[in-house]
Amino acid sequence: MRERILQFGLKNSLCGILSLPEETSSDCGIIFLNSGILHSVGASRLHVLIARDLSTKGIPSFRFDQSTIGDAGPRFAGGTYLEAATSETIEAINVFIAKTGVKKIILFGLCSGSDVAFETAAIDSRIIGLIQLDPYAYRTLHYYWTYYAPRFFHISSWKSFLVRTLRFKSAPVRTEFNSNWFEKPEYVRSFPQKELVETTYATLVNRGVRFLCIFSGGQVYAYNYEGQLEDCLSNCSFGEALTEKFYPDSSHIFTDIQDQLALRTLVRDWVFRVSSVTKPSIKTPDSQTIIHEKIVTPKNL
Amino acid sequence: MTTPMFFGPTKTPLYGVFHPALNAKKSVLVLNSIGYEYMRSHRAIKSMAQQFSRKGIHTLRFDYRGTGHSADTLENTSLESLLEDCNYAIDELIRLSGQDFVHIVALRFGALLALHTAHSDSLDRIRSITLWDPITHGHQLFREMNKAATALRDEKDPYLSSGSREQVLPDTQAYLGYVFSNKLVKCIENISIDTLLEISTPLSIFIGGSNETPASLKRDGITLQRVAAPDAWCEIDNFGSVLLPQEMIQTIVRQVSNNA
Repeated sequence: MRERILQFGLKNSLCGILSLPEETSSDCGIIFLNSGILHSVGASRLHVLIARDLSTKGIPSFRFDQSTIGDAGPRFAGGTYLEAATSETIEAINVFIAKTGVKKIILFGLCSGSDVAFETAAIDSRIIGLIQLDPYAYRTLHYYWTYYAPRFFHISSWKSFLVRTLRFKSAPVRTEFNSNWFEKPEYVRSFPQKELVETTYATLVNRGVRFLCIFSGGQVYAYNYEGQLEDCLSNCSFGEALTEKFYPDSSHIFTDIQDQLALRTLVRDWVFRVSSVTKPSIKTPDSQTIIHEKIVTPKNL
Repeated sequence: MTTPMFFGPTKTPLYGVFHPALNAKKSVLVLNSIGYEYMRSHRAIKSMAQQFSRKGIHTLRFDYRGTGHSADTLENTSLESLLEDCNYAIDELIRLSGQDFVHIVALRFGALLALHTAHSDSLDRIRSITLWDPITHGHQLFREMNKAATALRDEKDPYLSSGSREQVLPDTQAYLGYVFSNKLVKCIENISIDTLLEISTPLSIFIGGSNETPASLKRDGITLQRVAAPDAWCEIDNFGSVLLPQEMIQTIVRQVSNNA
């Protein structure tokens, strides 16, 4: 495996790491997107670990920082966070394709990264797969059943309900943190209307896009049983296009090692399947381990 | 314009970012913490490097092997290799800056590495060391990560959890999503700042938070300053936020740039 640093975009302000396998086994590559303001290493270093897992299987990848995040520079374009992130992701796809020769792209994103992946897939037909960690989800009747049923039969739930009710008026207000000391993501996540998400998924399914949607226990306010995504977007016929997986023990940033390992295997197998490794092995030209280069795109000229 | 780069050993390259400065007369090497704290402090470290650069100081920040974009994993990393990485980074910064020495600013666990490195620096390449919220004993790092992990577990929905989690990798311990080898944990746990503070290199310590200043840090010859800034490097919240204590960053940048 070789890794290269690429600086690209306007004034070379965007920055990422290309993971290149010794022998490429597919014309498909994967791009990792930022999650909130976590840099391109990814929550719990998942981007690095998965990139290197895939590289051993012959699949190239690119993990980059969007403007203002991680090692990237400032943002020069206007617009909302989602607009800027989408356009920078397309720029990253262009660079990735130019450097590796891949033709098909899979986007990987957690939380806001999942939202950016979804938005980008809707407008870029080179994207053939999405790996979405904690994507949009909507409550169903089964969600409420999963939530309330075990509580209904547990005496401790009734006790804590009573305690909460009695303490309600005197309970101290939980204060927010001092925003001068902490930096929150610029992007404030709000789930779009379900119908809109449903329509976009349906369009993508018709285009042949595949989805690996993984949910953690960190998003139980919206999702609490495996299969809920398909249930809540019932007007979209996913068929074989959707693989859904729930890790209830995992936090939003996948701090549980057991789940991390399972997730890495799941992602590797899914990417391998979706990218349908049919292309004959292509040996990458030079054997140098690390190369640093700046990509000059037309925008830089 | 910052320059991201790989440097160090060919087999296990280190990832770093160089922040060059105009007419620089000084160079600062920033040593970060490891594990979860590495992620939480990345933005603060970058902000500090940018401010140093604007003050006319070349700055290099980097990922130890097994962390960030550098090669390998923490499971395969030893304390010796982390110290070796610090030396590679010093060499690299000296090469990039053309200067003969560096100043080190080290956060949390990085403080222990900085002091260790200074002890073995026979070439006298380190002009000063500034410690930022240093941990005083190696076991403090793991204790705080365990505390945060417990808080995270308590937030779980008990009706969805599948119960206890198994240790899945032999000879390792996991802390907040990062796997350390037993050997590395043991080595780190045994480090105490007490023995490391006896150095001839000028030393300044900056401490945020509201906890009492550890007695071991109060010594003659050490500049010790409390700053009104948070020190919750190991906290996990639901906002996806990172810690960015600007008051502390600005104080340290001012101090290092004003010192001769």
